[in-house]
Amino acid sequence: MHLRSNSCRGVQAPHRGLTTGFRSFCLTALMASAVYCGTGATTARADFKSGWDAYERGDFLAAFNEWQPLAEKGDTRAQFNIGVMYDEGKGLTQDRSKAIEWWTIAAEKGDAQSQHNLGLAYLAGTGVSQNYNKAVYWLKRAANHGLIRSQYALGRMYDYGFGVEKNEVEAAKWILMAAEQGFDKAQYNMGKRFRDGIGVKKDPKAAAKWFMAAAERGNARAQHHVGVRYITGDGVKKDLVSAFMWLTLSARAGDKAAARERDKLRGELPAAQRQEAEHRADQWKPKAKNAKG
Amino acid sequence: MTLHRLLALGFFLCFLAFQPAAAGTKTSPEAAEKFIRTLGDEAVKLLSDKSIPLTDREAKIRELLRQNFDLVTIGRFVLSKYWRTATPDQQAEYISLFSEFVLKTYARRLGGYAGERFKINSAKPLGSRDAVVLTEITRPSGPPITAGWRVRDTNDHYRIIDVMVEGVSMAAAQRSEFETIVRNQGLVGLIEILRAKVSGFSARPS
Repeated sequence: MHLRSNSCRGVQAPHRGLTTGFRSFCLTALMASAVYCGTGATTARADFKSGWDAYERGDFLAAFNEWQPLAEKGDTRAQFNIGVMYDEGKGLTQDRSKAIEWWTIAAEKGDAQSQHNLGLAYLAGTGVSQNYNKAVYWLKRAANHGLIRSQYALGRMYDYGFGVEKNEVEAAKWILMAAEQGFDKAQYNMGKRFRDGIGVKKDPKAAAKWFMAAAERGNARAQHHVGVRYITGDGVKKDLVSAFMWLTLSARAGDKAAARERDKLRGELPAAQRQEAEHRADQWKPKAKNAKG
Repeated sequence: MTLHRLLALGFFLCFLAFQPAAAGTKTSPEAAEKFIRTLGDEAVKLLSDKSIPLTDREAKIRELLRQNFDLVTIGRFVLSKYWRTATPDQQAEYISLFSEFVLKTYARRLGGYAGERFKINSAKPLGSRDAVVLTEITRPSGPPITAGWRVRDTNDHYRIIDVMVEGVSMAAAQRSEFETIVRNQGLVGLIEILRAKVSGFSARPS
């Protein structure tokens, strides 16, 4: 890969709209990159934080001009962000193969988020040919850095045997890591695994624990499960007020089956208990997400 | 008409046929127009406020879209016949990922908003219960884009159930793409691809 020459010759014409037609804008960008390539003066002034401030303002050209020289010098943060700009078409003509180029450079230097995005690109075939083996390779590297999303995605690859030999025990290992770090979908998945014995030994108590953990983070499907468990007393102490509260939360989040269960339960609860459950649902707040993503 | 458009039109007609006849309220074109106007004004106001950081603007626009798109109806239509054979867990997971995918795509697209303006050209009935609001999006540069917003009145809640850009139904185009994926890689393949499309990291501050 020859990014230096590539970027000096071929900075993609930045644009702000949905299609082409921003010629003057593009010319400005090309001139700006020419200044950089010619003098290197921009390099000294390049500042990652200024680039971020410009990005947050929506001034993508300024962000690009700050980050491009840093990326050329090997700053993996800037390489990653420029990759994102190409991937999303933020201020640049969308060019996923360029995103792959930048993420590959940063990923090879150990940037976990670049490794993750690269793994996903290979999984979905965006900007590259779909390649499950490479997807697993990069997701595993990112997962080993502790990235929750990578651990979960990798676990699913083992579940389905995509790019690896199908292995439910290995799947459970990675998904459990994500669950322990607070990822609600992984927690819900672990609930099902312990309930059904998929890659782990059946354990109703552990199942109830993980369904509850996911419900507490706002996972509507888990809230539905927990609600039903409070009706039947499966793994938890029977408690119709808690059941009504969890089913209400799940229904509010759009789970139609939970709404039906809640409506069935409505007739069985005295008004005071129903009101208490609704009050608890109104007061309820999900546990915060893990910033590590 | 190109082959692509013909195909899209074909799928769009399937979409019309797919809708259960007279299963709900008939959507008034006037009310649909008012709904789109209000939504458009709100979106433009939100997007033009550059005092809010981009990531927050995108989060707000996502929420606005979530409230006003019927993502379950769109998701089911897009998955076509495979919806019926999916397990309840697969259906739930698919709808959750598909919704995230649509919201993320539109929010990111709109995050780069640069003074586009839209005007409403007309509104008319569509199918047995919907209305379509035809708009023109004018940009500071480049030719205008025509977009049609298919609106459904569901128990006094108006929701967008499809967007037609230059006459091409986005739902129909998506359906065609998803059908190919499911045929080749199964429903689990599609679910993992959707997960991959919504689980990437975006630009970071450090």
